[in-house]
Amino acid sequence: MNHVLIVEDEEFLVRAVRDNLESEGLSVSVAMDGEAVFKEITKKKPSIILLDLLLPKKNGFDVLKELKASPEWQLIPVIVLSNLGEDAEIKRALELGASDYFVKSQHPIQEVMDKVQEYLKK
Amino acid sequence: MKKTVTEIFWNYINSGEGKFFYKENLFVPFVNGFTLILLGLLVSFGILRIFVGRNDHGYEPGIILLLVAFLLILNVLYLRKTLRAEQAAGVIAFLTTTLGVYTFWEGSIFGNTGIFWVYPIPVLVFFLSGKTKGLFWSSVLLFSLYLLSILAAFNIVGLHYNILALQEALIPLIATTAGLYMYADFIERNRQSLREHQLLDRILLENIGEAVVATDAEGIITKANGAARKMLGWSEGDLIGTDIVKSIPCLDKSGDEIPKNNRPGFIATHQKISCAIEGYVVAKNGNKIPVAGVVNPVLLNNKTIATVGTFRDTTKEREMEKMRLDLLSLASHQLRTPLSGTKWLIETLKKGIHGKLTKKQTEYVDELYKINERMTGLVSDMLSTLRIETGFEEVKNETIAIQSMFDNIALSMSSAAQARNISLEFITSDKGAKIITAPELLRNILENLASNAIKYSHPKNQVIVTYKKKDNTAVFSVKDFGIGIPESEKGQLFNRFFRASNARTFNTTSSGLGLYIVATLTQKIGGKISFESVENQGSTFLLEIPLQESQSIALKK
Repeated sequence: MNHVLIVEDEEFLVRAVRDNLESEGLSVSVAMDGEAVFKEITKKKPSIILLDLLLPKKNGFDVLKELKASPEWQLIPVIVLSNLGEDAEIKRALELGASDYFVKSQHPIQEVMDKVQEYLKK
Repeated sequence: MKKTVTEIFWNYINSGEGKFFYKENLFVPFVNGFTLILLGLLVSFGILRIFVGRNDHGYEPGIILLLVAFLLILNVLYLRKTLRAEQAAGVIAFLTTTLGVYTFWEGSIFGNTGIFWVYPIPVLVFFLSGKTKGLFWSSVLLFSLYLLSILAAFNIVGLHYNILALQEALIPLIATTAGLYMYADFIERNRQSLREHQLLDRILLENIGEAVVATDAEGIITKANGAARKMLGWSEGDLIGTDIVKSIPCLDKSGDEIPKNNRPGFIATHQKISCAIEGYVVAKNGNKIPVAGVVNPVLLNNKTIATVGTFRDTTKEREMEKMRLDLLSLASHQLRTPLSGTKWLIETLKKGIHGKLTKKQTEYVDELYKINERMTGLVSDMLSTLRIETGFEEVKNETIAIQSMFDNIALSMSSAAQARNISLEFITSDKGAKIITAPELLRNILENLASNAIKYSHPKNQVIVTYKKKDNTAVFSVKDFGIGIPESEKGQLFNRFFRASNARTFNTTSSGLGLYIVATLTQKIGGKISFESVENQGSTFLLEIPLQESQSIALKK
């Protein structure tokens, strides 16, 4: 079974995303701050990571940088789910190696789910 | 404290302003009148002397008198332009000297007592104009001599004739000296005043907060004030007389050196217009300083003879602006997060993951969803508005391929178009066409217009976006066959939060900011927005952008 890591600090968003992922038959683990990411990732290696950018303790950009720098995790596709919508921020995330970027308030959750399935098929 | 008479008197003398006689409206007619009388007397006596007394004394006395009259006329003509008490007094002093000398040589013109009536006049003038202490004492001396001569004339004091004659010569000589002294004093005071003004101007210029650099028509620096020197780190000697292109390198907003022909000073000089300064200047130590300002040409007979540039260091402004934008970004994030939460939670509910919803429940949930979407749209529009209203939005121009921009917009608008069953088409007359402008802003404008076109069309309709080039202008049009705009409301269409009456009934969720944003952004990229519309038939919005070949920096605010 494919495993997804959700990195998000807002409880209600975690709930919405997790419920949708589980209803599609995926197993889920959650990290609610930048440092917890590596704890969770070591516990169970995910096939895909959904990453928020504004996080406590360590922000999403730094997490992304570290993930892509480590040979163990760099091949895991990272989809950024963030409400930061500036072109500069999107560009920066993509340059750091994110595979995709969704501005949460602008996309229905089903689009995110469809994209996750797309990446999992690869 | 009550001042004694002596104090008042000395204050008056030292104040340098004759309170009584210095009133020019009293003094001037007096001098004019007196001069005319004297003139008349001199001319008549001169002529008399030539024809009547020539056997005794020859022509000389008469000629001298006429010469004096002529000189007097010249002086008066000169003085008529610039009559001042001192100059007038000087003239009178000169005249009385002449008369005095003449008297000494010839014996008195008017008889022994005649000259009495002339001498007091200059004395009074000097005294009452009260210019300086020296003048006062000269007046006192004159007056004493005058008294002596009166006493001698009435034989009250016994004086030898020669002494009398000497006195008659001395009085005008002293009067002349006094007059010349006053004149010199006047000139000196003028010079002093001029020096003070120049000093004041220089102090003002040096202490202006903004940097000021002036050049001649060839770009050689003629002046650089304190603020400029401080900012750039050069001393006055380093800058004056040098070529500004070498001494003050200019960089554009991207940090590239601006070639000589594109420098604001060059443009101001050759095109005779004010040119904005935007970008950076390089200081002596190599630091790049962000600046903003303007260069103005100085024109004489429609030729540029000099330029004056004023500019200021905008580092602080940029920092504040960055802080503001960062805050705006954070605020937008904080506003969007709960909205995205409700959006996804409602969508999840609707999916039936936690149990299928009844019909009524679905209706309610749909309403919740619509309200949330409306809020999200409003937040997004308001943040856009706030962002574009800040002054420092850097309009970075790039070369854009129009076809690829159309493809991007088609993609981003595809779901909105599909949702309303609208066919969205993009037509370019020239597939390889390119335009130099701010890509994000242009895209934002077109997306807003397309979004409106889709929103206000009935389902199963068309929206057509076209590009064509007309003369030196890029013309974009967004055409729909939707509800159109009522005639009476066309004037307010671009106002903030304005929604046409038929738009409000057709679609309840829009914020009314879309076209305001379009208008503001159009202005930022130097374009023009207009529209044609017939209610219930549709609208066509036209966006015109001038095509520019070069990177000329023109004043745009």
